[in-house]
Amino acid sequence: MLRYTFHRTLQLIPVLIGVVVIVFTINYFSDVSPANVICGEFATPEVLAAKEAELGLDQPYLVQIGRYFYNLIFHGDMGRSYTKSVPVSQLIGERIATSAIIGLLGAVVSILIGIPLGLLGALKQNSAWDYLSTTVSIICTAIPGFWLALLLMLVFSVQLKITPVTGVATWRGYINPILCSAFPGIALLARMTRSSILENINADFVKTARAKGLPERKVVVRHVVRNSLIPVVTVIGSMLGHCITNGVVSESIFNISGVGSLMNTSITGKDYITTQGCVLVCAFMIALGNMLTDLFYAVIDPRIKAQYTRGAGRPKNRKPSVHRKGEAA
Amino acid sequence: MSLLDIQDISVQFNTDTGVVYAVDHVSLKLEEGESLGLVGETGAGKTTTALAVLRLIQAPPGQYTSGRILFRGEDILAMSPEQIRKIRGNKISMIFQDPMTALNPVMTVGEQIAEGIQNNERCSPAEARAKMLQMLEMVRIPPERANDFPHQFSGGMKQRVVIAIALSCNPALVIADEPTSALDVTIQAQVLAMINELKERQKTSMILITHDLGVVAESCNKVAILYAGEIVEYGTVEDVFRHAAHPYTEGLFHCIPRLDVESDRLETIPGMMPDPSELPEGCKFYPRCAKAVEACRNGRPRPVAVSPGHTVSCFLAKEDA
Repeated sequence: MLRYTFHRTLQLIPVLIGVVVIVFTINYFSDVSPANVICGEFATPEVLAAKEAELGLDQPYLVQIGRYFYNLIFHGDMGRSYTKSVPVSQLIGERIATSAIIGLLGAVVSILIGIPLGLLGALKQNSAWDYLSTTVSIICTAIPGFWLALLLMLVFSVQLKITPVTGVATWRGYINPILCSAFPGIALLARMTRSSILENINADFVKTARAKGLPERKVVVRHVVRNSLIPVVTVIGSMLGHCITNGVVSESIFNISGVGSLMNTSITGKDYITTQGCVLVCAFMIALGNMLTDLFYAVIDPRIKAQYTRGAGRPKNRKPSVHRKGEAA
Repeated sequence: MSLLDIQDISVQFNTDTGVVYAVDHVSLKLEEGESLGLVGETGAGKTTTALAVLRLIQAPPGQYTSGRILFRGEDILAMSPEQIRKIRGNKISMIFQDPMTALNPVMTVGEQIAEGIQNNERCSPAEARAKMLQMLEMVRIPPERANDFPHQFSGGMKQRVVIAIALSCNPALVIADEPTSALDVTIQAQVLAMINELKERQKTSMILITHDLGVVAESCNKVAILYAGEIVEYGTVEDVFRHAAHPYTEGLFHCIPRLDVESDRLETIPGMMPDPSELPEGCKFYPRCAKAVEACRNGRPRPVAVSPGHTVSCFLAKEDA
C-alpha cells in the first residue's frame, strides 16, 4: 500500500508539467503582450521593446518556458505579477488560506447534508422522505451560484442581519460563501448516495446478511453502505479538487480576496503570469483530490487494493503448500 | 407439533405489468430431522417459497395473500420484526444459490461468518472468532484463510463459506436453495456430500431446492413437486419415485436420460411452463398434459391422497379408499 501511495504521488509530476506547458503555451501565443499591459496603451514601440527585453519576452519560446520551469522548481518562483509588481507566489500565498477554508468547509457542509439526505431517500424509497430528498437536491442543483449568492445576501445579511454583506473580516463573513459553495455538492452527493445505496440494498449479499438475523441497522451500515461508498468517494474527491476553482464566482460576488477572485481579476486585467500561477495551484488541488480518491478506493475495496498491490493481500506467514511447482515436475 | 408447517401459503408480486402469482396455496409439513426436496422448473416458485419461510420476500412488490407458516407452532408471518430476526440464522438459515454474489465483497470471510455467530449467540468477539475458525475447518477451508476476501476464493470454496455461515449457529432447519447449480459439476457432488454430512452431524432438518431428481433421491426423505407455484405431487421419496401419479412428475422422470435405451434426442415435456401472470383457467398443467380430459380445462384439481401421506393434484388420481 505504501509503495502504491508513493507511485501514485509520483504520477502527479507529469500531470503538473503538462498543465504548465499547456497554460504557458496558450499565454505565449495570445496576441496581447505583457509589455502592453504594464506600460499602458500609449507607450512608444521603443519603450515596449525595452520592457519586453527586461522581462525576457524577446527570448525564444523554449528559453522562456525553460526559465519558468527552472524558477518554479528550484526557487518556487512563479514570476512577478505584471500589474501588481509583486511575486505571484506571494499573491497566492496571501489568499489561499481564505479560499481553502471556504472550499473545504463548503465540502464538509455538502457531505454532512448530502449523504444523510441521500441515505434517507434510499432507505425510505418512494415515501414522502424520498420525495423530500429528491426535491431538495433538485433545488440545490438548479439554483445558479451567482443568484444563490445574491439570495443569501438578501436573506442573511439584509433581512436577518446575521452576516455581513461582503468580506470575511469576522467569522460570520464566511457563512454565506460556505453555504454558496456547498449547495451544488449537496445535490450531487444526495443523488449519488441514493442511487448507489439502492443499487446494493437488494444485492444477494445483503439478503445473506438479513438471513443471518442481523438487525437492519447493522445490515445497512456494514453491508450496504460500505459497498455503496465508491461513487460517493469519487464525488467527494472531485469536490476537494475543485474547492478553489469553485470560488471564482462567489469570491467575486462576496468581495473576498481569495485565489478565485485573484484568478478572475488577473484574467480581466490580462495579468497572464498571475493567471498561470492560479491555474497551476488549481490543477495541483484537482490532481491531489484525484489521488486521494484513488488511495481511498483501495482502503474501501480489497479487490481494488489487490490490483494495486499484487500478492500482498495474503498473509506472509502462510505455510508453504505441499505441491510446489518445482517439486511436481 | 411439526417443525415447520406451511399452511395454504400464497405469495404474489404486484408489478407494473400485472400481478404475478408466484406461490399459489402451497402447504407443506416438515418434522424434526426430516429432509424435504422441493423440485420444479425455473420459475416454479421454489425460491419464493423458501424466502417466504424466512420472511425475506421484499415487500413491496411482494405480498403474502393467504396462509400461515408455523415454525414450532408459531406463525412466522405474524411475528414482529424483532421476533423474526431471532429466528433467522439462529433457528432457520439459508444457503443461497449463487455463491459468487452471496458474500459481501468488502468483508473478510471470517468476519462474515463470525458476524452471524456473535449476533445470534450474544457472545464476545473472541468467542465468535474461535467458533468461526472451527466452522471453517468443518467446511475444510484452512483457518488461516479467515482473513481473506471472497474474491480470493474459488466458487466451490465460496459456497462452502456460505454453508459455514448457514450452519454456524446450529439451526433447526436449513433451507438450501440450489446450492450446487452455480458450481462446476466436479464440485457439485463434493458440496452436496458436505451439506449432507454436516446436516447429519448437527441433526438439522433441511429443505433442499433443486431441479435434480437424483440429488433428491440421495439426500431427502420427502419430496414436493412444484409446478407454476403449486404443489402438484407430494409424498415420501419412495412414493413419488416409485409410484409417480401426476402426469407432470411422470414427465420429469421421462426427461432423465437412460443409459439402457438407445436414443438420439433427450426427452422433453412439450410446451413451456405458463407465465405466472397469465395462468390458464382450470389445471395449470393441462395445456402440456398428454392425458388431459375435459374436466382439466374447467376446474382446478384439489390435492387427493392416493396413499397415506402421498397427495396428487390431478383429476385422474384415484383417492385411496
